[in-house]
Amino acid sequence: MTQAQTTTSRTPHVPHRASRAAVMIARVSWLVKLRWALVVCLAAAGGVSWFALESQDAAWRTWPLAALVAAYNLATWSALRWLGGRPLAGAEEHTIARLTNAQIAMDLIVLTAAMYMTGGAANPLVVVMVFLLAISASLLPARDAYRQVILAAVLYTGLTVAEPMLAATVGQPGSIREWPLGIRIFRASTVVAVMFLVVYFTNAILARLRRINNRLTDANRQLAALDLTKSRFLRISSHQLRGPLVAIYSLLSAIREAGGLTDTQSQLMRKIQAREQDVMKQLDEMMLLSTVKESAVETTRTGPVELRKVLDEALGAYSDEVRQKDIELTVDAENGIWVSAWQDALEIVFEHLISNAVKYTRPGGSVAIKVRKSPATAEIEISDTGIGISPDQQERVFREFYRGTNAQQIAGGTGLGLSIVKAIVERLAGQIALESAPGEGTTVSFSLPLSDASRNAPDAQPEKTAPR
Amino acid sequence: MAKRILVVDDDPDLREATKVILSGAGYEVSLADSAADARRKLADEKIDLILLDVMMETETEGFHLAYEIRRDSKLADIPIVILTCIEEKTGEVLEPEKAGDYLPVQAFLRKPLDPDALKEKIAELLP
Repeated sequence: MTQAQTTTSRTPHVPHRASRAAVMIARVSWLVKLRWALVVCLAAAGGVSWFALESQDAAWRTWPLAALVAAYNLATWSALRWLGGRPLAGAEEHTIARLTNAQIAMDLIVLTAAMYMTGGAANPLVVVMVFLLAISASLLPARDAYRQVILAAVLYTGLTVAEPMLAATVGQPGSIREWPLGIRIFRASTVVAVMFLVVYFTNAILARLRRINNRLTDANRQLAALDLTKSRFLRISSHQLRGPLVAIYSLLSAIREAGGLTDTQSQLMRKIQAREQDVMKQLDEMMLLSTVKESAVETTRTGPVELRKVLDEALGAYSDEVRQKDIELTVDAENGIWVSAWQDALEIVFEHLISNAVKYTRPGGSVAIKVRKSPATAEIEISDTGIGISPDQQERVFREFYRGTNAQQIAGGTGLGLSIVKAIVERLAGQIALESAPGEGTTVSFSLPLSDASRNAPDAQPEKTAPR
Repeated sequence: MAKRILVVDDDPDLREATKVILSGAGYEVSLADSAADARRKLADEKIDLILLDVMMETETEGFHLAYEIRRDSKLADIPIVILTCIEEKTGEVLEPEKAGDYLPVQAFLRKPLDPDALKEKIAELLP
């Protein structure tokens, strides 16, 4: 069976400078969601007491508690929504921190109350308190997190000490509230120690992770800068080299035109020029690639471009070859699909892909081109019945200077075509993918965002015509 | 009488090579190494066609000269052939064919020149 595989590329992620406040809001929202679960648990606990345990007392205590938690969770949620809607500045970070502090303090108090009502200091709910403290260590600055620990310590120890003196609620005989005070305090202090340790370690781990993250971000930035430098260097060198090569080529042409060459000399001259053309083509491709990557290309040239028009032009350049090789060419593309791009770039993409399809398809084969419109993008597919690319090489074909073994056997090439195509497509905020099976053919598909005109009025012509 | 072609290009070897090619085809050739030099030649000699390299000292020198020539009533009718290079495709230089403004030239040829294509185009423009 066919072993077609797909490699895809994703549009390079350009990270926005998310303000710390926005990040904090996202994390606190998670806490809000957790708290809804707590509300449900408390309500359920009450329900269980009422129905299963026939104890309305406990229900009457947990339900108001659930209501209280629901109330301040709702308030928190609204506050977050309100904050999230505004443009965030530095002051908001402070507000969010205070909001978070308040929430967690309330949670701790509620948990203590819940523990009091359902078994006292022996209640395993203390684990939830410790868990909450760990969360607060990740959401709050260390100082605030430790303050929460102190609050929790006070609450828990207070509960332990005060338990027997408060009105008895749901308690079981033999529970720890009957132990001597000293032992109960010792037990509480163990728990408090655990709380401190949890917060301490959480902080330490997070701090370390943050440091590593910062180092990675810096390294990333350096690499991006280096890549840019490399591209710029490549572009400038190619440009510098091209001048002399053009001069050499023209001088050779002049020699031939001047005449008086023997047949051998003439032939050799032609070969020199042919080799030179290969070099110039290679340079052109290298320059193209580095320019596209360099992001310095004028974005003022980006505008609505009609796909079908560009496609037809690109096809025109290959009509002879298609005829000579007796290749069946089918084009299935509507008019009126406009993308946001600069025209030359699209021409280059189509030229390269069509050139590949035609070059690597044996005589008598076929090449099919499809252009479709989806709600937000234009989907383009160019498939051939050519020699294909073996699965282990498919990943690498988009790499610079890489040529697959199948390709090498058929014809020469710069190895830059697909990397240029990929660079352009990604530059235009699109995605590209490749599917191939050796001996059966290759399909390159890419998508591009539709220009606004195309998106809003699906079948209407846009007001502006493309620059041409 | 033989037609005179003005070749404007800042590369001396290209000027020489083009001169050889055009002389061989029976044309008289004048050479200019810059826009300023071209203006002098245009004032002093009768030029029938201008071969204008678009990438000279500055990126826009070629264009400005073309516009100037078109605005000059004495020179407005001279056919101009612009010689382009790959940089336009890469977006660095505004591609004249696709310029928003109408650039009034007769033809665009890509460097390096193919002698036959050049001679054909010139024969077309200078009947």
